[in-house]
Amino acid sequence: AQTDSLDLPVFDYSEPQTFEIGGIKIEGAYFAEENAIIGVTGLSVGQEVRIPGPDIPRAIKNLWRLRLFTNVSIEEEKTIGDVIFLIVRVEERPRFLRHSFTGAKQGRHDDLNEEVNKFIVRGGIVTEDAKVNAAEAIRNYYVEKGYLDAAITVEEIQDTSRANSVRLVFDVERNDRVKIADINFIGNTAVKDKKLKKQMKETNEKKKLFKSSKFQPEEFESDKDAVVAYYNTLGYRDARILDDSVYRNDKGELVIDIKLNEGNQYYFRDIKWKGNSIYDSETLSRVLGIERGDIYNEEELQTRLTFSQDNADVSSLYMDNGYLFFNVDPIEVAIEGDSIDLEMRIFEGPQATIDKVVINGNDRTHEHVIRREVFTRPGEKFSRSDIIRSQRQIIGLGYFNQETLGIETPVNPDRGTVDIIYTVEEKPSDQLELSAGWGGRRGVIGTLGVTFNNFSLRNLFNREAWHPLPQGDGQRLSLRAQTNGRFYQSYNASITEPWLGGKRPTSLSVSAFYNKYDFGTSTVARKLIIQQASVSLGTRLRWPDDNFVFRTGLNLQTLTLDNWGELFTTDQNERVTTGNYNNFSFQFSLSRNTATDPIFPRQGSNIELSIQATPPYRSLGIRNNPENLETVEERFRYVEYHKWRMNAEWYTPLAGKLILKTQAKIGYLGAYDDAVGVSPFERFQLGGDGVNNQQFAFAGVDIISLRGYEIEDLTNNFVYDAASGGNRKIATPIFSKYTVELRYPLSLNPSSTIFVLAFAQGGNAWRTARDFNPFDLKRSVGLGARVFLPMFGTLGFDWGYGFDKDKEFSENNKMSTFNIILGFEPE
Amino acid sequence: EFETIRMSTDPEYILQRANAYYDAGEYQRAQTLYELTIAPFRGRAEAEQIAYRYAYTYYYTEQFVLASYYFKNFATTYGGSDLREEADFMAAYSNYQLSPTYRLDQSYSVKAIEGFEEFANRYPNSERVTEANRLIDEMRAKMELKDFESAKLYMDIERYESALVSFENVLKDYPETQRAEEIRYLMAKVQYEYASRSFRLRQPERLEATIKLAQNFLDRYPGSEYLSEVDTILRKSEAQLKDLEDVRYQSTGTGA
Repeated sequence: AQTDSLDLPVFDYSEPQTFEIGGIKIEGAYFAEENAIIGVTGLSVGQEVRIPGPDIPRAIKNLWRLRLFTNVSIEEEKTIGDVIFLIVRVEERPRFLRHSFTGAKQGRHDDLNEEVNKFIVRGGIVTEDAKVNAAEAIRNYYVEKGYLDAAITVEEIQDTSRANSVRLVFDVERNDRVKIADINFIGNTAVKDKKLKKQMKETNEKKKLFKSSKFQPEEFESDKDAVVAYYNTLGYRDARILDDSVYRNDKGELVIDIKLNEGNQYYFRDIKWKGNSIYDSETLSRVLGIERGDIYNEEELQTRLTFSQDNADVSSLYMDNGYLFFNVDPIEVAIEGDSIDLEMRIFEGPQATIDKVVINGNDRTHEHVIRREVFTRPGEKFSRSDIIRSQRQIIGLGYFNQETLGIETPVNPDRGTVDIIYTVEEKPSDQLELSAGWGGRRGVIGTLGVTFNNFSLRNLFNREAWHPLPQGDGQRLSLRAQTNGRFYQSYNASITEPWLGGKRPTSLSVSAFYNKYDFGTSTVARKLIIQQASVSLGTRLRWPDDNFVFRTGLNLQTLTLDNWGELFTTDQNERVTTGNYNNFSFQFSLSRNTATDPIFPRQGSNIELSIQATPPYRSLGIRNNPENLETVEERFRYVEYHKWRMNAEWYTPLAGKLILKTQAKIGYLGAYDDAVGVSPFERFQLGGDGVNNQQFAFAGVDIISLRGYEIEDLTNNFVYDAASGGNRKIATPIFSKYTVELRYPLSLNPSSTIFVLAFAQGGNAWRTARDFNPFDLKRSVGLGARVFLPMFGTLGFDWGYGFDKDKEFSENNKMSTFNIILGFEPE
Repeated sequence: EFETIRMSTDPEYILQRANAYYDAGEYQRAQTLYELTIAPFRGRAEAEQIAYRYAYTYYYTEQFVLASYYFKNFATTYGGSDLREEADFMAAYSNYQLSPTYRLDQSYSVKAIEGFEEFANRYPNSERVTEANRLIDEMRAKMELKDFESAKLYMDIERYESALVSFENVLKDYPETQRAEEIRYLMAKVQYEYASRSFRLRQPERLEATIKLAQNFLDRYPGSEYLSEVDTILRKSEAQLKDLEDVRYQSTGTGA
């Protein structure tokens, strides 16, 4: 039998038994209501409970979780048959009402509240433990700021505004900030104090400018590790910190003494490979890149084995080919004197096959938009370079945060498979452009533009998918309006579907623009209006290889001129100033791009050949009335031409990061019929920075830069005008331009790519095909720099010196030009 | 007026007004006021209803992430409450509300399924179990459609091997699928395309795989609407395989 006691639990634990609860009594509740407490226990009258069983402990746990009581127990009052009567005994704590600070600056209160709230909840209860913890948290807050001598006391005061309530007053005695006077190293002979102090990133002497000098114990520990790590990189693999002491000098400032033992410097000797069957030892040693006699540096060794930034390490060699279970273990087989022999034990394992490719985190972008860009596909062999390419493709979509893109590769060793999980985080990808800029003599130009880079046309009529616009299908919609209010207006709209039909990366673009220049006065008109609608289709080809893209397009353009005096002149020296002109052309282009990284290509080439042509109206007999040819306006009512453009650029790494860019650009505008002649529109203008009019979208000519020369420096850009007796600027039907450029990157960080360049360039423009002479070039040399910022595009400048200026035209006779590049690289 | 209630120091009054707003359907205001009453009423009878209604204010204002959290919170705090079953259900149902179209991330669907499954296990006799099961089925169907569509994407972009692996995974991961017939038909079709576009050297084994898939399909679905198409695939594969073998015999013949 069991001895009864009032204080001890009275359940008989020897044998579980099921009871029906006959009643529940609460004792000790002062604040809390009895029914509420019963509710929290989860027990109710009439319920069946097993004793011992899970119900009673759970009820007690639930009550504890309220954090209202200092003591909780559930006891048996009595049992009648299998009916049990329970007593719930609780002891309540006083409630914590509020807290305040004394001695702390008002500005710190928010920070301090945050510290206190970690431990104490308003309306909750106060334990001794919580008070101590809160005070300690406040002290740590000050210590981290350098107030090592801060002292905190807590006072608990009965709050009279409510019964059984308290408030807390934290008294802060901050005292002075303690700075580090000296850091002394003892026992270092190979490395100077200064070098060692430099390794300590967070613990600095107070004499060091621009660095805070405060002592944080945790940071100090990692700084000591940094000192040892630094020794290790120098071959001192036995370096140790023997002892350190931190004490106050007579001014109350901190002094830190660090005693260390450097040990000996070690060198690599023989490195042998074991277990490798796929790559021979010679290849592995070459990839490792550590030679006999090199200083023993374990960090470097690990890097070369597994973590190299450029992915040219030993693991990458295997991982790239799907040997995911690859493992290498460097074993020191002999240490003789200062030399270390290594044996690299390799486990190659099987080649892993991809099972599932999972995409998570896409809250806006539809999955297929991402999946179709991903180069790791189910059933294929795992390859790290495919993952890296996929990562680039996903980032390249522009919808996701580059920093948080997660890639996991959980392996299934039994099946020899691997899943690839891409976790993306959506970022806003839409752009709003609202700007007012100074456009020189054109005055203030206002621009309003929106670009939705992740539009969904199919959801346009699905109201539910609007948040705030239909999105997720990777289509691009762009609308832009620009005006200076007086004489210039431009409207632009375009939409692009990157994967038309969803089967191939065939893009469809539809776009339209309207540009109007009006310099006229109430009496004299001077106006140019250009309107265009175009459709184009781009296909990635499979043959000869998948780097080829074929584009075909249709442009419908009309030009309306009213007493417009600029640029448009025929080869017969007729000025085209007035009339309506229709420019309807087809465009075909074939391009092949293997240049890696669009911002700073290091190798590969980019070659594009394009033809833009109108129908040969006159040859087709559509307009063969000889009277049509009498005036310029009649002859070019339907503009006819064929225009050829060739652009080829190659990137070759020369030495290290130095890249050679060679480029050739040629443009030719031809006529089908001599009787009609070469079109005054669609010509080229060579010279200057190539951006004169780009802020103004399209003005009827292609503008090509020529560094070192202004437009005024080329004879062929001018024609004698009998009417005015002077020279008049014209556009030319032919140009060619060749460039060699040396580029050197200063920063390849994607958030700001910076490089400098030196160039030699030659180019010229010709007025007829007969004059064309590819060796008659205007030469120049110069220097420049570029900065690429994702928000703004390319910014930079070029300084160029031209050797072959046609001086009679050069207005100011200076030999060099200075070009500023804003937003994008000019043609 | 709302501001004066909010600044009031009388919890009873705040609670009374909060209930009034709640009953009137002004959940945003009710929420703000309930929040103020949580601390003063802790451990009192009203606390239960406050917590319950507080969770609902998040649900009605379509803040489903928080709604799910507070329903869950209610269920763990008031274990013995009559409302617990409803709260458990609503915690999962809030996640269900967050489950987006199959084209997007399905982590809320997964959470909702887990919630409903837990609900069905805990309250096997609840009248809400049917509903919970229906919603589980609905979301599994959605996730199945997602996987099915990704397999079809690989088919469309002519990555046949990937399509085959992905279709196979749909059959494996969703044994209850209604699409088994369609998937098996597509697999035969994709395998045939794959074989046809392979190098001659790899063709025999891939044609054999096609024949196996097609034969299996015909045995399994004798009344299928895809019958004639699969039959054509089977006959073409057999003919092509025979041609390839003939060529091989010929070449060995001339060699000998």
